[in-house]
Amino acid sequence: MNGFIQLPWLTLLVLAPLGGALACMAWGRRAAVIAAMTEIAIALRLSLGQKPAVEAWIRFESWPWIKTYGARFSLGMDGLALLLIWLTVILMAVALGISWPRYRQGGYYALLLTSCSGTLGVFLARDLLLFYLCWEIMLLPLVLCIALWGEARRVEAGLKLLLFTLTGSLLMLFAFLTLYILHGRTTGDYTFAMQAILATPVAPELVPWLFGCLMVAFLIKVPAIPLQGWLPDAYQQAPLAVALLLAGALAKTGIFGLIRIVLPLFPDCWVGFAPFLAGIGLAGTIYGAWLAFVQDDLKRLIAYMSVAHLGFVLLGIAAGNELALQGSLLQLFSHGITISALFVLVAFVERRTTVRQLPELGGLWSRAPRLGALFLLFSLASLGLPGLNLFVGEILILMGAFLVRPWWGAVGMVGVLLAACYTLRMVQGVLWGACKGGEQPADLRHGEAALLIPLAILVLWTGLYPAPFMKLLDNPVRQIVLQLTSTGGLP
Amino acid sequence: MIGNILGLMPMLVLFLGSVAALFLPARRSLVFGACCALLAAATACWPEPPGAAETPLIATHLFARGCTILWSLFGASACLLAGRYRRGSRLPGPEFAALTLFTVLGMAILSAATSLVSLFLGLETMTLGFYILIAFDRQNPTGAEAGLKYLLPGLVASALLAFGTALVFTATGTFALPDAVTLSMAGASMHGIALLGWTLILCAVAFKASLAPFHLWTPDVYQGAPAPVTALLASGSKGAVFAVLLSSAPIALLLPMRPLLTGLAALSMIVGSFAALPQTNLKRMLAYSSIVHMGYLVLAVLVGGDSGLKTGLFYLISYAAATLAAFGLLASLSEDGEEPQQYAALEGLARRSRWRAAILGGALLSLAGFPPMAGFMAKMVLFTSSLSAGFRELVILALLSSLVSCYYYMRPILAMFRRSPIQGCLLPPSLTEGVVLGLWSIIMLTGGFYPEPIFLWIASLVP
Repeated sequence: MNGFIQLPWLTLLVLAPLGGALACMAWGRRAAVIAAMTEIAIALRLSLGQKPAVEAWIRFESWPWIKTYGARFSLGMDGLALLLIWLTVILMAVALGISWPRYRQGGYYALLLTSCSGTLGVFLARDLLLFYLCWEIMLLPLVLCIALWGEARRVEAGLKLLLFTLTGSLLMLFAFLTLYILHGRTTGDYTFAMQAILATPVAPELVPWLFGCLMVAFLIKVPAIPLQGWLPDAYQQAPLAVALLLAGALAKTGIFGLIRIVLPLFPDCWVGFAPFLAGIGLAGTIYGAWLAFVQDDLKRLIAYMSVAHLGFVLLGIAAGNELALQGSLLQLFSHGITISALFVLVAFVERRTTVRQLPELGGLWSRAPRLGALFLLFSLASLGLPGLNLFVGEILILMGAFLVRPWWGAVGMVGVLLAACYTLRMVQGVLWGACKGGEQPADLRHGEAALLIPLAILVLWTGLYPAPFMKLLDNPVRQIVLQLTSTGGLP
Repeated sequence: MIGNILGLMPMLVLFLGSVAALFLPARRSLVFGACCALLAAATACWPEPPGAAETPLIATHLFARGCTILWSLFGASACLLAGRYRRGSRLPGPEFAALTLFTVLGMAILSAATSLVSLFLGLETMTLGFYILIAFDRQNPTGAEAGLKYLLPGLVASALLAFGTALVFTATGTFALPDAVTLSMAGASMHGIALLGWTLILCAVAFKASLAPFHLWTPDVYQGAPAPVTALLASGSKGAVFAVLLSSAPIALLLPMRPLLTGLAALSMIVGSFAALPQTNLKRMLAYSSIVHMGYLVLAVLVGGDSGLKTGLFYLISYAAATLAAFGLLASLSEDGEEPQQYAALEGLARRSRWRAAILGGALLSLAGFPPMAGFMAKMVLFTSSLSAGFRELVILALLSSLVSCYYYMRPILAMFRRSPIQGCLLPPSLTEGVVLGLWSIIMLTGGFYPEPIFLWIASLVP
């Protein structure tokens, strides 16, 4: 294609950070930069050399792996996966960037890279065993990062996160193994290939159990409302880069899993569950907004803000029409960009004033105008100002929700309103008001601007001209709608 | 005749090596012991001679030979790891090498046993070696205690085994293993007596494999014995016991024994998990967690057949690799025979020696069953085969206990990475220690990332 030499780009994309991690162990943290640059180069190559998205997969690679158990190392990329790969790669670069001045140990960077490798694997895997493997590889390094480099109560926070997510993982493993055995028994072909397993006819008495297991497993990762116990501590105690990855990339894997595994597997059950899912999403929006409004710690505030936004995404998925799904999937990308930019800004503010508490902050605009301007831009983006990225997704989701059940949309609007409340409170507390603290904080430096400017460009691009992103999502959305309607699903 | 001798070659090598090691100078004896074990492994790799008939006591089929390879590798590792203890004059080299080879011989006989007599013989040969090996370090006050704690339950287990064998023989009139099981099935004339005999044998085996409630000796023995001996005890002796249960003594075929096995498995998982939680001593924690792992292996015994045999053996290999790496690392950290057993003593290890911290961390994660380590693949495979054999409740219990296990395996890992005032350089690992640690780390990673070669090797052992 295009005269390029055909390399297994997807495989390279997944394995390069792992190689980088090993190099970090051996030669120190500089290897991480090389790994990040390699990743960006591969991602560029993947998005340039793509075919028009008519086929299901833009690119598919499959290698023999464990023949005895019918598992293959197969990776497939469609538009949604490409978008999320870009998100992961960008976040990885940003995470390395904000850690650079603060952490020197190679081990820290090795863990971050390993986790990114797992995340990319989750987005690409087309084999259940590989998916599970990557799912775990993604999580554990971040737990170690939190427990080793976090703040005062880091061990507790890390173990809490580990226990929550591991419970989910084990439920998922149990469901996967059951599916594997069921598929093997009915067809005689013991395989972990997603394509085959997702078509397994499951005995009706098992369906609710498996559906429940998988649902809980993925919703823990999002995290959705009754399962969010790990979130505040983990975000608050984590190093900023880890909080950024958790909110920006890992939360997306939960929703990605819902769409890619639960929905095709149990479309009937899904349709029945959709109102509950919408309820969970709306509850998340309101509850996250409520809690964000009363937080003083900026990191916690952004953590709850993230819960609120992800509630919207769940609402869109539950609505299940083309409009809402477009919005939800685009929102995955937009939310990742915005939330990570906000985390970066918190890091910069903390670097200058040494505090993160709203009552102790204020007057940043007058002293560091460029930093203040960017803070304002990303805050406005996160409250859904038209012309910025989150607005596009939000309006699509709300329109879609109105079509299905008007009151979903109405409650969603309340969520938007609340978003304005807590975001403006944050902006007011940080940027305006009396100057606190003695010395004059420096304005944005060039290196710091280099982290934020690309994110700002993406925010404006997605907000003003989302068509290229929507085009990527066309095919995946159509597929989901097809899966839903083929079972006589929602209107 | 020649065929038989060729078939028994690995055992002959082990035996002659163990005698010869006694006459060597202390400096060379350990390496000689390791070489003998490797030679035995090599002769076991030799393709089966065409005329090899089954001897009445010891099988020479591929599975038995494959097991011999494993035990020999474990024995060689133990010998190579003991160098530091010999130099610190904690161990006499020749005797250690001789006893290790003798113990490995016992394991080889045990896993190749086709008769109740050779089962008894193998188990006693193995245990006899361990009685001495565990208490070998006479300067260590806990060593003698550990030796005694292994000796007394060991003697009880021997008595149970002998009595059980007698009862089974009374009921069935044969010592031959698969036949004795078949003849004890329902409808046999002296069904009850045979079952009583098998129950006693199972109890003896549970002592050796430290299944709850027969596990009480385990933590003290693990703690008191020198780390290389603990490594061999944890990997080899338990492995050999399970090898015989998986292959030639399929007692899970006896339906009345199944509730007993289920109970042993469930109890081991529960007791081991809860007892391991509060530990602050690495060796004691590994002891309790080994009880949990043995509980998982009982699942393989319950599944039985080819699938149980294959998954059980893979689980054994991955468990042994992680255990040998963990205890090997402890041995390589010991100074003058004092091992840093407490978590507090491990603090700051990552800063002082990051590769060793990575290996110990990897071993513990593998035991916890985290991908991409071998432990995950092993659990996945084992739980899959148990689920498809219909042991859903036990699998759920096993999943729960591996959830709990994450907590106790994470604690030493976090300790290693914690900053600590302990300064000073560590002695670099010697070449032999490096070889052993490297070998088992590679197996640990291969088993997690690309286990296909190991699966194929196991499949080639089971016709």
